[in-house]
This record gives sequence, C-alpha cells and structure tokens, in this order.
Amino acid sequence: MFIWIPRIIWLLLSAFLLIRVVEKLTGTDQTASILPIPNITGSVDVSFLLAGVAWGILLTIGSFSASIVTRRRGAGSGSRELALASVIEVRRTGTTINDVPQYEIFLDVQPVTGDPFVSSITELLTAPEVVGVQPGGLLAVEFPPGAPDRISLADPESPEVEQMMLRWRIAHGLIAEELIGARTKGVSQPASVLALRPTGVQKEGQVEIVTRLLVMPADGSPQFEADSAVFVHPAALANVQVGSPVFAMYEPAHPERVHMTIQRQEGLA
Amino acid sequence: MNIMDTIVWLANFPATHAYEMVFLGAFSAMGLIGAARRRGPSRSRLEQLRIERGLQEPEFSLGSRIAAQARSWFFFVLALFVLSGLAIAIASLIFGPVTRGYIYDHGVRADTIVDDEFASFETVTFDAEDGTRYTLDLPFFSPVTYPDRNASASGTDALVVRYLPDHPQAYVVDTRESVDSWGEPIGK
Repeated sequence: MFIWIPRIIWLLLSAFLLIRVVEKLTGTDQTASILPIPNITGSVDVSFLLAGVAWGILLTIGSFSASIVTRRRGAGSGSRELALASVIEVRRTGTTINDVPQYEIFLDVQPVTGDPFVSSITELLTAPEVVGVQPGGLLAVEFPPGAPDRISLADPESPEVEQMMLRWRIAHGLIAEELIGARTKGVSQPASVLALRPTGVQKEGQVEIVTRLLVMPADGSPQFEADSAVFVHPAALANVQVGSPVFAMYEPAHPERVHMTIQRQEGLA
Repeated sequence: MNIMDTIVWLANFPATHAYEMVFLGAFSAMGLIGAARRRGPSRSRLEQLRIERGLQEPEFSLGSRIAAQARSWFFFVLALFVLSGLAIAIASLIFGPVTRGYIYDHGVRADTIVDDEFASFETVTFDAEDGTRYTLDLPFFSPVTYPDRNASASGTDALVVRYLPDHPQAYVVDTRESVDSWGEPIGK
C-alpha cells in the first residue's frame, strides 16, 4: 500500500506546479494565489523551485523503479502456509550489500493443498549458499494464505517444515500407500544399504529406487533385512549408496514394511 | 488570435522563471524521457514464467494497452514542454529572457500605475487596452527590460511596458521610454 504514497505526493506536486503555471500565464494579479502558499514576486519562487525538484526526483525514481516496486514483497505477519518449492531460475539483481550479491529466485511453489503457482523471492546469498539454490533444487517457503506473491524462505530445520514435507510427499504420492503407516507412525532405527536399483519411475522430479536394507535396531533386537521402495530427489542420491548409513522406519508390528530415510525423521504429529 | 503571440506567451514563462525551470527541468529530464520511452505494457520475468506455465493470460488486455499508450504519449508531450522550457530557461539565464525582443516589437504600449496602492518594487501594474488591470511579477533575476537588456527597473518607477495584446502577462519594460524616480531614462 505504501507505493501509493509517493504517487499521491507526486500528483499533489503536479497540481501545485500546474496551478502556479496557470496563475502566472493567465492571472491578472500575480501577487494573489488560490493556493495557501503565497506567490513570490520579484525573486525566485522558492516553493515552485523546490516543488519542481521534488516532482522531478519522484518522477525519475518512479520511472526507473516501477518493476522493483511491484516486486517488493514483505514477509508480513499473521498465519503462514508452508510449501515446498522447486527452483526454476536464479539470476542476480545487480545489487550487492557488503559484497554479498542479491539474487532473484523464481520458484514453482507446490502447496500441500491447492494448485501450484509460480512466484519469486529476492535474497542475499553468499557463494556457498547459492550453490544450494540451483534450478531443480527444492526449497521450503512460506506465504500468507491467499497471497502467493508474498513468499519468504522457511527455516528448513524447523519441525514444521519437516511435517510439511511429509504431508506434501504423502499428498503427491511419493510414499506408497502401504508404507504411509511406517513413515508416519513407525520407529526410526539405524540401517545400512545393502543394494539398490532404480525402478525407472519418476514423480514430481524425484526418482524411485528400491533399496535392500540391513536394519540394526538400537534396542538390541536382532538385525534383519528388508526391501524399501522410496522416491528420492536426484540431488540426494549421493547419500544412498551401497554401505551408506541410513534410517529405516517401520511399525514394530509390521517390520516387513520399511520406509527408508536418509536422516532420522519424526513421524506425523 | 496570433499563433506566434501565443507561442511567445508560453515561452515567456520559462524565460522569466529561468532559475525555477532549470532546476525543474534538470531534475525531471531523465524521468520524463524514461516514462515517454515506455511504449507499451511490459512483462516481468515472473509474468513470463507464469505465461509459459499457462498460469496467466499471454495477451495484454485492450484497456491496459490503451492506458500504457496514452500514458506514454502524455509523458512524451510533457517531456517536450518541460525540455523546451529547460532549453529556453538555460538560454535566458545566459542571455536574459529570450522573448523580450519579440514582445517589444509586437507589444502594445502602456504606462504603469504608480500610487500608494499599487506601487511595489517587485510588481508592475498597468491597464490593458480592454480596461483590465494587471498586476504582474517584475522578476529581478530574469530582467524583462528591453532594448537595454542590462537596465534595472523597479515597480516604483514610472515605467512604460509593452505587452502582447492577447496575452498581457507577457510584457517587457521599455527602457527607452521609462524613467526612474529621478526622472532619468532607465536605459542607455
């Protein structure tokens, strides 16, 4: 709403300047004015000069920063909806602060419920940070419900984001029906990858792999082997190789239904 | 109505308000040119991506196209006026108001009224041919004296002015016929 304030000021200055010019061009008594600011005669009309300078500056700023103003989006307050977003494109805005460049990140946001939408966000990113923000990468974002243009980055370490990610994976069919119970209500135990092979199935930019796991319960129960078919983001495949330490989630009553996770994860709250 | 008189009348404003117009024109030139050059509604990269994904209509609405075109033409005309004013103002700061010669040659003679009610150092008051009384600014920094461009005129002197008949706001002080309070001609 604040972008209207300079526009209103510019319009008021325009009106002031126009009235002054018309009064000077057509007035019969140039010592009088309909404006509360008196007409200055014999010398430089300081009010006209200052108004003209302010008018010109506002016009110049408005003319060259219209796109910037429309792009500016505040984080705002109130309830926020979490969503997963994949990076479409990243480009520098040309601004740097303390030698840290600013980037505009275009995102394909996929809410847990509702249609996906495209939005963008501007962030200052250091060189190591920008490596993790490449086209195809995933980011957790949040936005006020009904305001998809006001997105901001969410803390990927927060439990809320983990819960959102889990709900999103279930909603998009990235967790098999028979494994939903294991992933949402199961216990998480250390495991090692014995073997893996891709199935060739791809969904939501993720690839399906079938892993043979050696589950090693920390409570002293006997080790056992189980198969787990999961969808993994291609960038995470490096963490799932033969011998990689991973975690297996399963319901104690159904140890044959195992869902592999790369890190220890919580169930659905 | 004489077209040339009207043009000189309009040009007389930046010529006699040169300082104000130089500042206004200098600070607004870039903005005006930038606004005038934006011929049509533009797409941001975000809008282009939305169109590529079918989330937004690819065509601009007729209303937005017309509004953008009208806006562009408005700022083009405004830029023409303001930049012309800037050029006239710069010339007038260097050489004095550039409209003085034309007004002097084509102006109608009138004596200023100097009495207790109207006398002021900063204004001149005269009655035009149609009987209308004009009290007009006598700018110090853009002296409207002619043919002696360097003569100094005060509203308290018995001055003779020449004004454009259709636009009496455009006037010059005739330095050949005006006299100061000592009764001496104010021009050389």
